Amino acid sequence: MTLSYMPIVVVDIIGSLSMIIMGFLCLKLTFDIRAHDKGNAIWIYLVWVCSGLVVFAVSRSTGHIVKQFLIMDGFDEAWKALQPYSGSVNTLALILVASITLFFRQIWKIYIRILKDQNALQQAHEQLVSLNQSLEARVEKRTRDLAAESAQRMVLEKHMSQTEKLAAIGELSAGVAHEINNPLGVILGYCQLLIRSETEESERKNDLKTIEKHVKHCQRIVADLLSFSRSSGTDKSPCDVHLILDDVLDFITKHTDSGKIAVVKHYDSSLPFLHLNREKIRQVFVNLVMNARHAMDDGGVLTLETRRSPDHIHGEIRVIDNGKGIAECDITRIFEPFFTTKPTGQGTGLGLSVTYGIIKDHGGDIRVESREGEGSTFTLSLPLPDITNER
Amino acid sequence: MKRERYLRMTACISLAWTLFPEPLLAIQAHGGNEGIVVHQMGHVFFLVSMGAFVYWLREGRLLGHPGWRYIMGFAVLMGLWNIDVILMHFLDEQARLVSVERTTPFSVTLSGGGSSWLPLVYYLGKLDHLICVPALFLLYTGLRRIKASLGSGEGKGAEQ
Ligand SMILES: Nc1ncnc2c1ncn2[C@@H]1O[C@H](COP(=O)(O)OP(=O)(O)O)[C@@H](O)[C@H]1O
Ligand SMILES: [Mg+2]
Repeated sequence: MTLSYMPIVVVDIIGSLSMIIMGFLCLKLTFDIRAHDKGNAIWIYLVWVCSGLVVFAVSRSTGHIVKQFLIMDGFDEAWKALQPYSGSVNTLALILVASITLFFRQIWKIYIRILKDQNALQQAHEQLVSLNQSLEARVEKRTRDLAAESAQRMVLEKHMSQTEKLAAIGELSAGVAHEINNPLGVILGYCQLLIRSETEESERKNDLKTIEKHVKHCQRIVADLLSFSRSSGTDKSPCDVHLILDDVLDFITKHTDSGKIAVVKHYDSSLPFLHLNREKIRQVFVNLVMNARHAMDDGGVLTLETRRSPDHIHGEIRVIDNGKGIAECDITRIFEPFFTTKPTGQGTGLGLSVTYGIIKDHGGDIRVESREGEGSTFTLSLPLPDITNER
Repeated sequence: MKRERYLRMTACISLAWTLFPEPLLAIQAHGGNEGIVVHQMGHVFFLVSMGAFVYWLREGRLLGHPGWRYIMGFAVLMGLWNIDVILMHFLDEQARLVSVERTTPFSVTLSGGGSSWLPLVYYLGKLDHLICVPALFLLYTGLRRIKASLGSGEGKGAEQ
């Protein structure tokens, strides 16, 4: 079979040259890659493989080219001398690349382990960071809680100081009231004596009547002050609050015009008799209902509610109106004696402080909830009697 | 102590030398056909390593990256080239089945083993650069891809 020799020569020479060129190009690329990412073992492997390939290509290809030229030019002897070296280097290069490749797996495994460690480290780091962040959040939340707590405590403290203040005022006014009560009695007595000795319709009699009226007003205030200070009698007996409430309502509707006010009653009939000073509790109800009426000048609904407290320790009486309500800044002051928003002559500002004193005297509590323009709810809690006293 | 040991060793070697003067016994000779056998083994070793390389590449899930896909192509072609070259060496230097005659400077006459296809296979097999040059080209392309992906900052060419 006769074939052209040309393809063999051409492919051999061009191929050999290409091998060398490509080998070097690849080697250069691997160096570039390694320079980019120095820590990666896999690029070191590629550098080695390409180095091996270059050695192989050079040894083999120079062998081929030189062989072609030497044989063509008839220097067969020279080729024979060169051949063993070219061939040996060639074989060595083959084995080198093969060995490096077989090491590839090991390198690959190590690389994977490094990657895993890196990931684990990264994860640990992220966890730390997130822990750190959540710690910050937790600290923030705790700080907020603490702030809320301290705000609550401040409110409580304010309330306590309020209570103390009321007690102090109570004591003070009790002393003053006592001192004033006697001279007032004397004034009133002499005033009435003088009135009796005056002739009918004299001008002096009218003046004396005015004095009498004002002295009586003073006496009322003093009586209020005394009851606020709890210094007056405290004889208590079991009472039905519903009866007292109805009584008070009757009394008020009879003595004032209350056409525009509707009354709603929600009585809990299972509420037992409470151990109360009837007169004082009456006074409390009068105060609360009168306040509610005053708050509803343009009409409204007055709701009276009784029930047991959720913990069954107290009976609760609520006086609810949908009147003008109490301004937020006033709500802490309404129990203070002489605090009033009503014009002089109409309000003494003693009603709620007296109420407060009476309720405290009964071992109870009075709370107020109110929103300006929507109405107010006054809640009295009075201790329920022992079970043995229940009706 | 040490010196004594060296002395004893030297004495033994000298004795052996005088008893067995033929150097052949001490150091193996590497003439004859050994060159081609070593070379063929080298090729087989290369072939095996390329096969293993391809297997590991697939196993290691590197193939998701385009660069490594080319490098696998390189390994496959190199494997084929090894088979070709092993065959050629076998025909040329071991079996000597094909006889080559330069009839003119531009043509060769091939004849071998009485079969008609063997000379053709031999002739085509001699064009082995048609396999190994593309193989290197694939390697080059793969490396370029890897380099590009590194340059653009995405992936390290070996994401897991
Ligand atoms: N039901 C209520 N609705 C709105 N404001 C009220 C109510 N009860 C009490 N107040 C406010 O509390 C203040 C104090 O009440 P109180 O001690 O009874 O004195 P007074 O009724 O003489 O003003 C009142 O002036 C009023 O501003
Ligand atoms: Mg009042």
